[in-house]
Parts: sequence; structure tokens; C-alpha cells
Amino acid sequence: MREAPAGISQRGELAVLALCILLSLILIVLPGDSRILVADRVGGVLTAPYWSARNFFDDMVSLREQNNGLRRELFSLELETAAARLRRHDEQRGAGCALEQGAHGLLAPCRVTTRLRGRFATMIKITSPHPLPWRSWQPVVNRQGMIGRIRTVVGPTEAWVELMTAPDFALGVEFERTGLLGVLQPRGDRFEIGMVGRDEDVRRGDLVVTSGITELRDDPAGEQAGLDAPRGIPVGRVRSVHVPNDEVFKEISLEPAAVCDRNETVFVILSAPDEGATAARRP
Amino acid sequence: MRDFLRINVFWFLIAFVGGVLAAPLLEIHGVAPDFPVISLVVLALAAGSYPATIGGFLLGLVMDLSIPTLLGVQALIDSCLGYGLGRLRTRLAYGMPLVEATVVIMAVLAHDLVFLLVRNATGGEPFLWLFLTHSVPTALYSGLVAVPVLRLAVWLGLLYRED
Repeated sequence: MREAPAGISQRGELAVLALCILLSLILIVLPGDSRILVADRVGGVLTAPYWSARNFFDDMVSLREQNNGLRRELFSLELETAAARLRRHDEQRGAGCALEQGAHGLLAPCRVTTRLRGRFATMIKITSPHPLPWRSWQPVVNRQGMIGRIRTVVGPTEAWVELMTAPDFALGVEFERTGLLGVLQPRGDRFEIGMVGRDEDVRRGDLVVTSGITELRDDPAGEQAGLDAPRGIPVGRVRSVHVPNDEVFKEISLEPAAVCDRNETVFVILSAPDEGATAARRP
Repeated sequence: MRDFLRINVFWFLIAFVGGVLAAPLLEIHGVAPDFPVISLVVLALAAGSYPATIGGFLLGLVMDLSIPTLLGVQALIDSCLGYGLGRLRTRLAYGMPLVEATVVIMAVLAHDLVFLLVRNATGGEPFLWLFLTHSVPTALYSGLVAVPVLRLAVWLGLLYRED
């Protein structure tokens, strides 16, 4: 067995013990307030760095949570404002587009954890802090506007999102100023809005929002599904309008409203007030 | 010198990283292993009375900082505990997990016994109830967790064996 380190006799060990006991007793017999003050000073040396670091990281985590909540509230208000503006426009025009005011659903904040930078990257991975009852086709938005839709659910807290730049993406849109309807589709590196008649009133800079019309497609399970985006979410602004002589529809190019980057907060719009309500609203 | 550093880094990691990160993860119904005491046992068995006395004092002092009204109590307890464990080191049957676990269990119980008695004397808290419902499960859990920790220390060559 290894004995005491060289140079430390049993008497030396006892002396160290006596010193420690003495120091402890001095601390114990200090008056109440002095004891707390001494603890505070000693803590400032021994444990303050640790607590500073820990509080910093705790703050980071809680700030992200609070930020998500605030962004969600803000975006909800913006959506309500947009919906109210649409209704007012409908009333001013004297005729709406005969669509239901889509329910905004529940906004579940998520973080973009993977965003490939490749030219052909059309997907991002998002992570939710809480398990969500998400499914394919649910719309994904950020504060600027529409981003894409849930493509593949990896797990209760992770999913891959197909961006609007994906080749087979299609979205029913509406010109906010006039109430005209159209279909947005990507064309290479730009977006085009089709199905708008050549005589319709479309101007450069017009705001384009989602129309709430769902394009149904056959999914691999053999069922029909589509992007269930509520009406009124900003999609972009008209960049250019052309009217070819031999076409019945306008050629409308769109500047998308939303871009997303890594570590950004995005929102999945959960469709119904089901179990997702609790999860989405949980702080 | 190298052994001195390794031992100190190891017990420091067990005490603080274990206490801060591992203990909350291992907590069962409010009972978590007492990593500071486990680390003190490791230090005492690895380095002897002299370092364990000082280590125990510092460890107890840091723990006291969270209860300033009892400043010095755990420093006193852990100093004595470190000294006693260091002295015990030469009398233990090494390499037997049951023995090492028993040492940890006894150390946790001794620490809590004195601490709760002092706290009972100053604050009038129910000593026996706390000791039975908190200290005993903590001691058993700590003994269980200490076995792999001490095996790791042996594997790292921190606990010296000559037989």
C-alpha cells in the first residue's frame, strides 16, 4: 500500500486536520450576518465563475424559449392583421373570392437545424423543442411569410421541410389588392404565378398571399393530400408582369417574401385544435 | 507530479461535473448519488489522508456556500471524513467492489448524520425522518454508483495496488 506522500508524517497530517477543523470552527462561530457575508465573498472567488457560466447558458436556453413564444405571438397577431385586412378589402370590393376565412391553426415554433447550401437544396430540417403531432403537407412559415411544407416527419421533434423552390411545389395564391386567384409554381430559380387571365389587373409590387385553396395530390399511401395553408399568409410581391400576344394567361414573376437561414425560428401551422394545441402552446 | 494532477483532475471532475451534470440525470424520486462524497472517497483511497483532508475541507466549503447559515459545517465534516478515509485506506481489502461500496455508504451516512444533527440543533428540523427517507436511500444509491466510478479510477491507474 502507498503510504503518505514523502515529507508528510502522521503528525503533519494531524496538523493539517487540526488546521482545517480550526478554520471550519472559525466559520461556524461567526455571527449570522458575518457568516453570510463571508460565504458571499468566498463564493465570489470559488463558485462565481461557475454560476456565471451556468446562468449564461441557462439564459441562452430560456431566451430561446421566450423568443419562440414571443415570435409566435407576434406572428399570430400579424396573421390576424393580415386576415382583417383581407376581409376589409373583400368588403370594399363588394365581393369576396367566396372562400372561407381559413383557420390560422396553431403556430408551433421550430428551429432550422439543417440547411444545405447547395444550389439544388430544396429542403431544410427543423427541430421542435416539444413533441408535435405533425404530418406531411402542413405549412411551414416564418415571420416574413410562406416557406414550404412538411415533407417527411422524422420523429416527434424533427421533420424535413420541402421549400417552395422544390420542383413539384404548387401553392394557391391570391393577389391581396384585387382578390385575384392564381397558382404559384417554381420555375428554376424563380417563381411564376399561373392561371391569371391576360386582362386581369395585376401590377408590379402587388402583395401575393396564400388563398387557402388546396391543391390535392395523390400521396404514396394512395390518398389525396395537399398543402393546407390558411388564407392570408404573405408569399411575396409581384416582380414583373408580361402579357404575351399568343397566350391567354399573364406571365407573372414573383419575388418571395421569406428566406430562411440556419438557426432561424420557423413555425409549423398545425391544422386543428387537437393534441397539438397543448404541445404547441406549451412554453 | 503527473499522478498528483491526474488524481486531482479526476476527483474534481467526479465532484463537480458529476454533481452538476450526472446527478440530476440519475435522480430517482428526489434521490441522487452524492458525488462529492464519492469523489472524496476516491481522493482518500488514491492519495491518502493529507490531500483528502484538504480536499474535503475545500469540497465542504464549496457545498457550504449554498447554505451560508451553516457555513463551515460541511467543511468540518468533510475534513474529518477525508482524514478518516485516508487513514482507512491502508486497512481496506482492495479490489472488492462490495468493500468500496460499503465505504461510500458509510461515508455518506456519516456525513449526513452529523450534518442533519447540526441542522436539527440549529433549525429544529425532523432529523430522523430526513435521515431515513433521504440519507439512507442516498447512501445506498451512492454506493451503487461508486462501484463503476471506483472501477474507472482503478482502470485509470489512480488507485494504487501493490498486492
